[in-house]
Amino acid sequence: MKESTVQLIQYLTAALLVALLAYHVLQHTPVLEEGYRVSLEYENVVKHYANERTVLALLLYAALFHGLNGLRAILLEVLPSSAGKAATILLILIGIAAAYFGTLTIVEVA
Amino acid sequence: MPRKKPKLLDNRGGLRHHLNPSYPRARWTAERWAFILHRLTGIFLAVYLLAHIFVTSRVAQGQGAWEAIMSSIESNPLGVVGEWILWGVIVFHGLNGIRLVLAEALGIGVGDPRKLKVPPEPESVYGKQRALLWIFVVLGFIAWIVGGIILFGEAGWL
Repeated sequence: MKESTVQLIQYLTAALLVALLAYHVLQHTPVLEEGYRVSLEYENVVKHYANERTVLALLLYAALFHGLNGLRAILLEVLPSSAGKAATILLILIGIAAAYFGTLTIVEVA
Repeated sequence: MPRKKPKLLDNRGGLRHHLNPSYPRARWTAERWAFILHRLTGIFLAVYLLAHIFVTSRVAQGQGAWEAIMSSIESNPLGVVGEWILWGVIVFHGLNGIRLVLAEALGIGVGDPRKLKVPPEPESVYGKQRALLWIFVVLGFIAWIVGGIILFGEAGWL
């Protein structure tokens, strides 16, 4: 994939994350829930997973791409090019593993 | 007498260039501080994201596993302070990210380029995006304080 395309996706996921994270955070505040601690009680968390699985999955994939690609951009600047390629492969593997793990949680709980 | 050749900027300078405040030869602008903070908060959030995926996976193991891990966070004063710091990091990275998408991706709020001079000065950063940066700093600080009131209030500290 061209680096310009990767950077475009980085910007698109940034914009998406601003909206999704704002919603995600509001769900743990007195604005949309009774309170922060109440929103983290087991029953409320399970209900949240059941009602919001699409949003949570989108948030998971967007955050993983944006976060790990951001780390990759920093590593490519500070590492020599050969180590940079190894870092890219390592971060892709971490991303796939985390996406699988997160998806499993969403599917199991929802 | 021949003019001294300006040092070319190497964009792959390595970690020492990030730690050396005199390199590249640019002033310590607000945008540069924002750039450094954006990177630091980004690294923090990327690591936190992986930890968050692991912690939230405990909910799939049942009520006991979930309540055990949540009580270990809530009963620890460092856990509450950590949540407040995390909120500040999210707010800064998110708001500065909006500025960066507008300025870098869409070219909104960036000043017009001027004639180059040596050492180069980034005149193009002195657009409306700088005002936006300070507006976001103020808004972010207010959001951080409000988050602290909610978190510390629910922890019974206020």
